[in-house]
Amino acid sequence: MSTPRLSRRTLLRGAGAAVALPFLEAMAPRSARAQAAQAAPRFITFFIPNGFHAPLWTPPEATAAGVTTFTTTRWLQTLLTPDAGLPDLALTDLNALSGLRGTGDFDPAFNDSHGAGTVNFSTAAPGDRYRGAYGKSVDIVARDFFKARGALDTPRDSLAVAVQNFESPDWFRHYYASWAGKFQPAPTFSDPVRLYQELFAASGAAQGSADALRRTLARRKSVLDFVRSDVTRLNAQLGASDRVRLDAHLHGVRELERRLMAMSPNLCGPPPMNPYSQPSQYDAWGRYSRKAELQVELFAYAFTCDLTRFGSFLYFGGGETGGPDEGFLSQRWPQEDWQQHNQAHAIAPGQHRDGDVHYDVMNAFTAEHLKWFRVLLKKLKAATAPSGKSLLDESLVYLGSEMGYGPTHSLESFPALLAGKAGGALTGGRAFDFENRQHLGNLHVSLLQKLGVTSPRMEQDTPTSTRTLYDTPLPAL
Amino acid sequence: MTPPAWYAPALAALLALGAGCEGSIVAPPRTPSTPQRPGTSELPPADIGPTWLRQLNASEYLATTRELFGAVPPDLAGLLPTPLQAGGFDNNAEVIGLSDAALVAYQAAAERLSQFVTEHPQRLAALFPCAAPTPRAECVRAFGRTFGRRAFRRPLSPDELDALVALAAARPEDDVRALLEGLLLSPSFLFRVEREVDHLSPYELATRLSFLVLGRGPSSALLDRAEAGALSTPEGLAAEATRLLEEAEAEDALARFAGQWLQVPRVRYAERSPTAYPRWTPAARAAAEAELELVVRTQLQAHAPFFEVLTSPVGFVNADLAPLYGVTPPASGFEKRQWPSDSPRGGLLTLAGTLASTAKLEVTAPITRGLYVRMALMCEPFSVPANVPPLPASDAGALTERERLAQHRAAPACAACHAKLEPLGFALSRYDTIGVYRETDARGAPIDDRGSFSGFDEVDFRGPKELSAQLERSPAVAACAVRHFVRFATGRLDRPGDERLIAELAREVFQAGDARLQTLLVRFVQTDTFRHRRAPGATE
Repeated sequence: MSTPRLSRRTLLRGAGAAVALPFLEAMAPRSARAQAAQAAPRFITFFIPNGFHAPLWTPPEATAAGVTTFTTTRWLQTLLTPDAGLPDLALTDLNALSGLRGTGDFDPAFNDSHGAGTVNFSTAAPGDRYRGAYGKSVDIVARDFFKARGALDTPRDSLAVAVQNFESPDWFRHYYASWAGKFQPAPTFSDPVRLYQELFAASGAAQGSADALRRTLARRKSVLDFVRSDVTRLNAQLGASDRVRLDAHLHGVRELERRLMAMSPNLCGPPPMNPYSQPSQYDAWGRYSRKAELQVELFAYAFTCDLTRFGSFLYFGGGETGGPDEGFLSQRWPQEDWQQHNQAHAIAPGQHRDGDVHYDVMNAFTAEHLKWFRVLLKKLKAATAPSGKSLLDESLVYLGSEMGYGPTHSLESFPALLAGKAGGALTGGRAFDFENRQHLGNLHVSLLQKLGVTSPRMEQDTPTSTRTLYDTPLPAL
Repeated sequence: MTPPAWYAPALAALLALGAGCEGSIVAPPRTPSTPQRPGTSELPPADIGPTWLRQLNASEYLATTRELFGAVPPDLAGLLPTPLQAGGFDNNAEVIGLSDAALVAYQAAAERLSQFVTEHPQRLAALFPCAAPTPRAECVRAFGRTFGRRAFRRPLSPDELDALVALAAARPEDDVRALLEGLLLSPSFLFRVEREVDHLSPYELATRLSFLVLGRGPSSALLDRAEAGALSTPEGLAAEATRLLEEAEAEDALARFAGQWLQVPRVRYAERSPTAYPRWTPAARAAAEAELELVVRTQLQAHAPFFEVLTSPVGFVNADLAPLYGVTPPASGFEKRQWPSDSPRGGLLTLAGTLASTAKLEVTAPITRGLYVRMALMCEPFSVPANVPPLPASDAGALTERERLAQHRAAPACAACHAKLEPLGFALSRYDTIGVYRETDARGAPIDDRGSFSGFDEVDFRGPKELSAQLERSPAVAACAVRHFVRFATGRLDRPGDERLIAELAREVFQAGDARLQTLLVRFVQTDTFRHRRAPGATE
């Protein structure tokens, strides 16, 4: 997609002639509301598994106070690699962080450090191993702050996307980067076809005539009115614990209604590639790299077209699957196990260096994950926000993992990368090493602060109460 | 691909929440539950565990709408939400229905169904008969009283009928579509609402029973029988459950339970390098999963003791699977095979699907295969502790896999768990990572497949058949099966209060010699846990 501009003009230009008219009324109130409140910032969290080997990530010069002159380590260099048709990233677009701590499972007998670390990545606590986080993830904290102030006016409140090639009983904690509340993973789209349907539902409806579409939308409105009154009726008859689920239902109904009224931006520019159109190149569980490409394309589109302002992107598990057409892995190591995690554990002591096949395969996965992260950043950089700045400058992007270094299962020395300038609140081009004196929760507080959240804090519902886990930002950022 | 080693801690929630540990099921002394007499106002016992509002999952939605409409469009399944799994099952109400994730999908599904029904005049006429002189509003009320009752699994209130009439009146152009979509998006349809505190209404009991036995909402006839009082006693529930078990969908529902318990769906993610394992084609992988499903169903159809699935010599082979087993392929499709007693096959642990989905990096994966036996079959907890160093490097080929892994016993921190894992997995070491049988290792040395429950240096059995024979008789395996069933049937993780129930059921059903899943189900519907509801407390 060429550099989209987020203006009303673009939105209108992109709208198909046959379907533009029914939406005009819906667009007007949105425009007015958007001007009334200060618009929400854009915030993305991006999860990649199995950590980084510190020598490939942490510049030796990095300090807790941050340095501006430092060695461009291998993974930083990976992010600076050019891609055809996309703008280059510069070090000033990035901040490299190292040496953050996480929290292990409360019950050491059931420690699952990958699961605990994944929930730590976005909530600053390990959660319950079977039901997940006890509180909201940092992206949802920010989202809800701006939503409560009427500053969030996009068709979707947020969007959670995953590249996930594996399902297993009980790995609940590993699947999600976004948590809407205690034990509530945010709807997460791991199938590009599903994600496409979700983002472009309006396009599907638009295949009929304008009259047919108008009728469908009007019927949806009546149906949702009916369902809402139905929930209210039922709510009066149920106890508090049951109402939690009915409230979620009601919330969902309201979201559907809101999206119904705000469908116009779905027509911003030409939609990206449709996974349906390339069935031979896509299937639900294989083709890791191809799936990532589709997911990044759709995810970036949601931001460049202002369908949402908060999002998470999660790579589950570390290349759980490959395929004969993968290229990045199978052609170089046809005989190897295609699991980053297994490869990480297969590295013998003293062999954590290039030339060791397990080390190389493990790192090939990291390079693959970082490549698609880089493409996402560049798509944001290529888009222009209404302010005239690049969308990347307007955004804050947080990349992290579930542990410091996979082979050690360590919940210390977490790496993190911040990209974008958060609309000017964040300066790029620095490297930090906090030497395990700061927690991921302190980073989350800093992120919220940069986004403009007042009294930023990370909280969780323990089994008995809601308590603040972190409210102090990193000392220097 | 196969699960990484850190799936190890995953299954262990069972006992994390239970009073017991390490597979010992401790039943606190208590008088056995006495069946409640109809009409008494006795409160449910405090230890029956909470029941959350249960949202229909994708398979329940599909089966329920199929029953409601007679047929559903073939593309409906693709619109339904992706399952959330917790505790091993896709129906855990502690995690599903909490967010609005599913609603987007269910809206699309409702619209597809309403289109499907209304675009054919015959279907429409069957569902919504409305002849000329009858006022439209009367037709809507009649529809609400018949179809609405089936969709909501209870009679609609006058308010609800009025709301339906208002909805239809607002959409004169497409009122039937609006009515169907409204009903299908209502929480009374999408959730299994239980409004009665403590005692369940006849409709709510019918709903519980139908979803448990058939995996879908109750038929009109079952609601009628419930209304007439057929489910008011444990005996009545048992009789009705026995009757429903004769329906074809009962096998689907039980197979769904057994398949998830035995982790059959994991086979589809067991990918291997096509260069290293050319026989493990996508078609062979699919066939290996299908074989496990067929074996499970064979046990169910035979009404045989279920644990025979561990030792049964029945297998199914098609053209894709035959090369892997080294047998002649059938002319077409799947063919049932009785493995002879001297065959390396016979029993769940010897089938390609199980062997492949429990293997990973090591050639024969004794650790992960041991974990499968300990966790899935015996419900024992295991964890992956942080900061454990890898085994020392060894000269390639100098040690056998058994010798290399036995180094775990040298480190006390490792030995406690590994002494329980590898000695079980070693029994399966004559099957490689896709389940191909071999008698020698890569160096040509004979493979030692002796194994043990009790530690590295003991020998309790040799090979999978002897291991399986011991598992088949194990009380721990029986209790573990019941624990999984309670999770599946209640839609939640088990809790300390469930220990008594689990111990009782395991004793009565399995150890009394009638180890059929059908028997377990019929016994379960007579328990307090099934017959009563306790709403979850604020901190649960």
